[in-house]
Amino acid sequence: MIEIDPRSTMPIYEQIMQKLKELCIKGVLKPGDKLPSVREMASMIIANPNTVSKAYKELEREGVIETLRGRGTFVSETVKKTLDEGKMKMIKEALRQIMIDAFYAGISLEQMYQWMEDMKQEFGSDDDAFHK
Amino acid sequence: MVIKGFVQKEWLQNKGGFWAVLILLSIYTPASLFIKYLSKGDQPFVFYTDTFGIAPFLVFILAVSQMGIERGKGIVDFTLSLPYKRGAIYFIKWSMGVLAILLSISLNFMITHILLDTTHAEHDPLVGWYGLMLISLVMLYTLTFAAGALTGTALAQTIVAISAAILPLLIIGITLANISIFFQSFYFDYVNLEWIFYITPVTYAGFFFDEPYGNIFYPLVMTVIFYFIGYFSYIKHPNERTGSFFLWKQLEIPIHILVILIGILSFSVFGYIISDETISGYVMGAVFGAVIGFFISYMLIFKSAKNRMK
Amino acid sequence: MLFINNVSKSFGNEKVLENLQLQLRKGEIFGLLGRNGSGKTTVLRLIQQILLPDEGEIVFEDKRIHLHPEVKQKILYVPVRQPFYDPFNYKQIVRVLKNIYPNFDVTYANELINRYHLPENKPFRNFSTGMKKQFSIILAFAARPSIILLDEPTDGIDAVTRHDILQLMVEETAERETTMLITSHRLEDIERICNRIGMLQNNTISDVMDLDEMKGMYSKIQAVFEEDVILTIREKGIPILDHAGVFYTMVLRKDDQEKRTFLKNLKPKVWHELPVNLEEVFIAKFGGNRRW
Repeated sequence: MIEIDPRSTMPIYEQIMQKLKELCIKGVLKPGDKLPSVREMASMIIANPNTVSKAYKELEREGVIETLRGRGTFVSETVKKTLDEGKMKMIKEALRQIMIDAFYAGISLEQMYQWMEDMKQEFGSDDDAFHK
Repeated sequence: MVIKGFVQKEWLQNKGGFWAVLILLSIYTPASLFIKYLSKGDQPFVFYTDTFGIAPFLVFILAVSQMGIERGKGIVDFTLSLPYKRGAIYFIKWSMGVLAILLSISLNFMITHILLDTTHAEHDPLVGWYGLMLISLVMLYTLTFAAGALTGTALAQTIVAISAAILPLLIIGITLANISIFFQSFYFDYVNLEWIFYITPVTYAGFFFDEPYGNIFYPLVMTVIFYFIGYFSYIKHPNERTGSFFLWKQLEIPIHILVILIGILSFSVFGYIISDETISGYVMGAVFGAVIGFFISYMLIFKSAKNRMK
Repeated sequence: MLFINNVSKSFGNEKVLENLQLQLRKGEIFGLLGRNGSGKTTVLRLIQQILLPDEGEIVFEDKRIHLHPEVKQKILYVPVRQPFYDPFNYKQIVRVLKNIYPNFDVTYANELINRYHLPENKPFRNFSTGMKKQFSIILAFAARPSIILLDEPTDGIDAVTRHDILQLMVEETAERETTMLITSHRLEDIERICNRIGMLQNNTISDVMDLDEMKGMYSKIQAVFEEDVILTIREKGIPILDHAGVFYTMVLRKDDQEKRTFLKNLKPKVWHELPVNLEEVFIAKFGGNRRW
């Protein structure tokens, strides 16, 4: 289902949260879908159960998932709004990384704006892709 | 404490040694008796209780297997990691050896007795002799076993056991020999010196005398002494010194010195004798003995420290 | 649950461990890190009473292990090598272990042996390294201990076996809250499964911390200094991960204002603070004076 990278500088519980949110964004996990138990997840991705538990608790706090007593943990019905905020955060993080890389590569901000304009032209003809 | 598990482990680990004792020790005497019987021809068959034969060797092997070889194979760590007190480990191991000896000697006794009765042989009362053999074997086993609690390798265990077995005789003998060289008027009565043999463990391997003494007091006391020396060593021994000659670093220098002294005092006598009783022969022997003593103990005690496992 | 109180140990004249202090919590997986030869295995052997401490004591559930060795029915040690097993096969070893450890679960052991397709009738000495480790770990778990001490459980073995072993450890802790103390050089594996880690350095355990917190405690600083300040930085005791020309990569504790100010005073032209991973913290702690 998901893979974690222990060598990454992002704490594992955050990685789990991010990956699960991604799956929700992509529609692989839909509202109402049942998630693996903490134990099952820990065994699948080979991570400490406490870490998985922490991730689940945070996701629950954010409203992405909910625990129904006796039945398990499920993707919450009201997940969309939370995810939109999450999406924005994700894009912003990705953008930050690109900016750092660009700086080290010696690419100027102006060059980047130019590229974005060019890409907008490319996509512009296909409005749907941009505004979905 | 779940003793059965440890007994099983010890049995599995030392199967060879235990079977050697249980089988060979049981049948050795009857077998040699039977062979003598077959070759006796027409003469009446008389059974002499003489040496113990290979018996001491068998119990020696068992003790080395249980202690020195365990250490050499690196299994001591496993043994010590088990949920038992070190003192209990020592005791159970030792008890298993003693029990094996007891069982075998009993069997040996019964078979021999049956054989003697059916062949109508003449013989001395068996019980006393067997009693002595039993306690002698237990004593020699305990001696070797305790040596294993002081040493870090099977070879060291062997050397220490054999040395300890002859030590009283050796030390007193060379002391008397040296005294008699310098005090020519010193006269010792050989007969009154029997006691030296009583207190020397190797006597009880049955090598020196055709008639083993009917005295079980000495080997009994020796057994107790050796048991507790080994016991207290085992409880506290620094296990990180496995691979060294001695488990106790504190023993290294005193024993080194002791060996040198023995070398000096024994080879000096030897040199005196072969040089037709001259002092220069004595001195040359002494020097030679010092050098030999130094090198042998140095190589054994200190050089093997390189193989020490952490 | 397990307390190591002020334990010291010398080998001859060499002090190997000094004032060792550690507390293990129930259900946690604790990673003990350190360079080769720093004494990690010695710590495990001391807990198991294979070696006796010169000072201090080790306590399990309020009982000093030295005086109550029967508590070792609940503490199992899986060393790098287990020569005792060599001549025996699975069935023989189980027969012995189940009589030594009253909680030994033969059914569970059989389950695991079958699950990982390990041979039941071959003698241990004929197994591959990975199989030997897997086998030893299975037997240890089957004894249903409260604590397991694992020395380099996943070092030097193939990826499939490693995956199986890690999975088993994770499941075991999830299911039974088994406490584990592991030593390893495989920082990746440590990062995956440990709750807390501790560093064995200078003969003692320091920097015991939550793994997630660790990443929050340290920063990687990427800076550019015009002048050649490498000696100055090294003298200050700041670990340098990498040094290429004018680019310096260093590791700092986030709360270490003194060193941070010191670096800023060297007037860096560029200054980036980034998160760290365990390998970087490890190199910073243990290899601080490298000449890059």
